Amino acid sequence: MGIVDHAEQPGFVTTTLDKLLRWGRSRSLWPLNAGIACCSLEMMTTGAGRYDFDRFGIMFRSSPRQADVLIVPGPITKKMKPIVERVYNQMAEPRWVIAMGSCAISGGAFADSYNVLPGCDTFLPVDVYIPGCPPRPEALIYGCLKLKEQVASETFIGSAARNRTLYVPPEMGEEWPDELLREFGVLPPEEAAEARHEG
Amino acid sequence: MVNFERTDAPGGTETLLLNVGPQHPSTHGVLHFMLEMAGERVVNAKPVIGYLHRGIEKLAEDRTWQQVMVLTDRQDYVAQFSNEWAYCRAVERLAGIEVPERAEWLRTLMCELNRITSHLIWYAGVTMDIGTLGTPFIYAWETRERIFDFFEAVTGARIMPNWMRIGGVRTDIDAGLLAPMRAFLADDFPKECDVFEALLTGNEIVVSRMKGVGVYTAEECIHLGITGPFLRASGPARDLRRDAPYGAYDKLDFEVCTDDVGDSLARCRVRLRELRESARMCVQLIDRMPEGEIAVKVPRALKPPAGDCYVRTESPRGELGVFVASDGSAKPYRYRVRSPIFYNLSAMPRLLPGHLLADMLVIFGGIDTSMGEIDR
Amino acid sequence: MRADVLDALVRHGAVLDVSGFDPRADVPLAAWAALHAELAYLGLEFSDITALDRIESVELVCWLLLSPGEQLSVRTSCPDERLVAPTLSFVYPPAEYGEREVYDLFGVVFEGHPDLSRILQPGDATIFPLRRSFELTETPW
Repeated sequence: MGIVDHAEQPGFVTTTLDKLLRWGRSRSLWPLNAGIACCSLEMMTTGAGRYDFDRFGIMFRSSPRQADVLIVPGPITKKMKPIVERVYNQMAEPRWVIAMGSCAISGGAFADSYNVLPGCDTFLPVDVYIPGCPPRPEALIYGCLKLKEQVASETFIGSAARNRTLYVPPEMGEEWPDELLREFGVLPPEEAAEARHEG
Repeated sequence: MVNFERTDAPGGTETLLLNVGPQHPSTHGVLHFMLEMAGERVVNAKPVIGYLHRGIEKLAEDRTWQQVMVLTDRQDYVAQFSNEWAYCRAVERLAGIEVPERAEWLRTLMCELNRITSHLIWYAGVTMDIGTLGTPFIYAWETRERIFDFFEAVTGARIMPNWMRIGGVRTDIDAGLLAPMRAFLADDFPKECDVFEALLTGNEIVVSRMKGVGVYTAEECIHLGITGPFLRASGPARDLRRDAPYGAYDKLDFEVCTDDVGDSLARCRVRLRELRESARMCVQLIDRMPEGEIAVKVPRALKPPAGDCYVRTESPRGELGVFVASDGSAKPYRYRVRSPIFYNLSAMPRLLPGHLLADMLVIFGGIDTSMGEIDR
Repeated sequence: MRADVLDALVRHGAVLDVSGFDPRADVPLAAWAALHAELAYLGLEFSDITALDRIESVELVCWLLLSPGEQLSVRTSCPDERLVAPTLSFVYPPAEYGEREVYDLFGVVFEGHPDLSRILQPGDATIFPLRRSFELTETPW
């Protein structure tokens, strides 16, 4: 066994470290400041004065690199899907997803629309579903506390943890036309490889 | 596909393509701006919308006339009562339904309270963008919560009320609910407005970031189809509550808030004054509310006669128009929402170039976007 | 209605109907752009441009303001075989986005439009959803 596998065997040091990590991570879940539709109003309300999120250690972060949790507040449309995928990919692991509101769970009031996906769990691994249209701030807090329980009971050490999160391949996405990328000096992979070999 | 023309800035340098959004703390929803920057100046600005296009206009064709009300709430999700009222007015006009007087007064009251909450969201958003780390945001939100308590007591929901019905409203408001609201609006709210003003127009940094930024003349704005407080800050006193009164507006005493400078600070001032005017209007409405029925009996399977009808109302963002067409069946033939911000936004590619990036966000705050209405 | 507006409408072949909720002018498609240019010159402001699918044709509806409180609808019809209409973007700047939306949802191509691309649906969408022939299914996926 390699050093990494050795280190991942449960022993006194690793389990204590694991407990410390679990304690810390569950009490400082930082969601991304990503509002999509009406549920984002209730998300903001939960962060505001009356239903304070901050007392649970939940602070909104603007950059996906600094966020742990992606709360999806609103319907995911076809155009928005690559954006949410890209934002999810940019988040550092460990990361979790909360589907907030019926639109994020199943398409909600717009389930029979031609442009709305039937829920964000078609392409994201969702940990907590919070029903409501929109869910009350108390419901959102309850959902976040449920996630906190889950995070506090997950182990972060061991190969089981590494296969946990879905890895969505970081492609450029269909929304960028090739000509535009070329103008800015970004070539498709084959041509870039050629350019590198020639240079 | 974006038709993006690259222009080289003077001096032979290249321009930079900067994407603002759709995930961005300052774009107030999923708005995507593709900016071509020459240094700090915006050379070309192109909004990309459609990230929240849920197809409400098509979904409405598959719902009955009453069921569409649920969808109208979710268009401009910040000013829900305006959307509901615009739709109700259009269908009532088409079907020839006469709404009782008390219902009109109740609708006006809730719509004006909604205008207050909508402007408070604008206020919270614009001050956060400028960089005040959250103080005005928290203060504005607490006031919103007070009004939400009232909304919840009346309609049962905080933000998606689904309260207006074709022919009237769903629930009545009794005096026991109105009295504390009146006390709040008459006594506490003006003091809170003073605080809001002090935090915005009394703050040197905010004023220096907003004064003289984005000055547009009235002719420019009218030609580009801009309506609402954005237009009123440049001079013209265009307000559908005064020009084409509906509801109880012709019986109220209020002034149309305008400013003649036309810069970002003027747009802020107009909205802050509208907060006070709305509170005054609500107090008048509560004092003089007539008694009576709250709704007329409308058949469950409502079938308005064939034809179409266009109704314009003054939402907190501008001229909200609803165009409904009927072919005599129980479902709408066409439901079209003339969104004020859709057309305000269409003016941005002409208004933004030449400004600094930091100013762009300030001008953008002055539009007060709500993506649900732009994309429907 | 103002005499000069009435005169302009009649000269471009409009059939005027004032009996409904708002005055309505139906013009032939060939006069669409010219009539709007003249109405804009006379000072009528733009409120909205939209479309209605009448199965064999698509009816374009443009709402103009006779005064801040009164509105006039100017309508024309594009036959289903040839959904092409002249653009109003140079006459009324807000129509640029309105026409992009009509193209996106109905498929009407506006000749002379500076940038006729999809605005609400993704750029590679192939459907024109607001046509009546497009049916909403209960589970579209």
